[in-house]
Amino acid sequence: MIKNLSSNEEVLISELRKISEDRGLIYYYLLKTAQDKGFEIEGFARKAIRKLGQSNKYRFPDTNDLREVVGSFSKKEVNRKIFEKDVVDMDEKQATIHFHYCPMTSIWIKLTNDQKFIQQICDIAMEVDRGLFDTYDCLDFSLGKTICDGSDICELFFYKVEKRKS
Amino acid sequence: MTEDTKGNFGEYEVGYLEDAVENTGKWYYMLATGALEAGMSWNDIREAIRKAGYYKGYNDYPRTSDLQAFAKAYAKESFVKTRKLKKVALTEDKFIYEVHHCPLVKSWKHFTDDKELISKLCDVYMDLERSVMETYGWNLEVEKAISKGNNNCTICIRKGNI
Repeated sequence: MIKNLSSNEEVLISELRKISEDRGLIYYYLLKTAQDKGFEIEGFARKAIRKLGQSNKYRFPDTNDLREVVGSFSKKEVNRKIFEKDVVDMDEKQATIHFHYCPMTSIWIKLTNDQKFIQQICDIAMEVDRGLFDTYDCLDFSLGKTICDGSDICELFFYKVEKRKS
Repeated sequence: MTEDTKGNFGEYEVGYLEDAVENTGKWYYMLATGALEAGMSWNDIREAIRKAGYYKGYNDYPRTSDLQAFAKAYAKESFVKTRKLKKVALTEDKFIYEVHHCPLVKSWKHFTDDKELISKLCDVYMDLERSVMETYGWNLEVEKAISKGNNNCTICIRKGNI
């Protein structure tokens, strides 16, 4: 069962979460409608969100210094509060961040009790972060446990890797 | 209600709120254009957006026949400030407002300068708001739009047959 419990009630954070929920609402119905009409969301939706992630590069440091890039994920207090993020550990080779809350999940669990579908659209949504890390030669990203699979947290792992592509 | 310069959100907070709305615009842009490439039609996308609008209408706003009470909840501080919204008229039967800044159009211009596409994205997206009003039996018309090259959007919500 998906929990997704929040401990932050600040006005700005609530409003930012509401905007994220609206994004999740539109995203949900675009994917659900596509699927209901027989379109394969694994194809077009993953590609679309991955491309979105790649386009976000301008918002992040252009460096292969893992601490600097991961730091930018967590240094803004407002962003940290929206997702109730914790930097669990970080050194020059790897980092782990835990998210304790997800606004998009909060709307999805209102729209459906199909946990399998929620897990699928969550993983597709995470293409946004995978896409961002496509743009770094020596950094990579993976997802561990997620709130959508019933965990208390989302685990985001970041790694330094050998230069992998041109 | 509108043109509120006080409230919870100053310039710093509005920056974050606008950024969040722009992010929504980017997700919508990528998914809509990706869906079209996959063979979906604009009508398919409209159908999805309308469903989202019906949900918002039934869940996000007070269920009332009082348009003025509705308008107070609908034009909340974050909406007013992120859109630089100006109230033109609010009576028992109509609510007309202007939008002088659109973070959504700004987000689409990040990806394309195709004016026809931007105009279409906007019109389809506005089915969200049209559907909200439909749940009340009200009509929403976009009489002017930034996405069409106007300086502002003029949105008219009227009670009446739809």
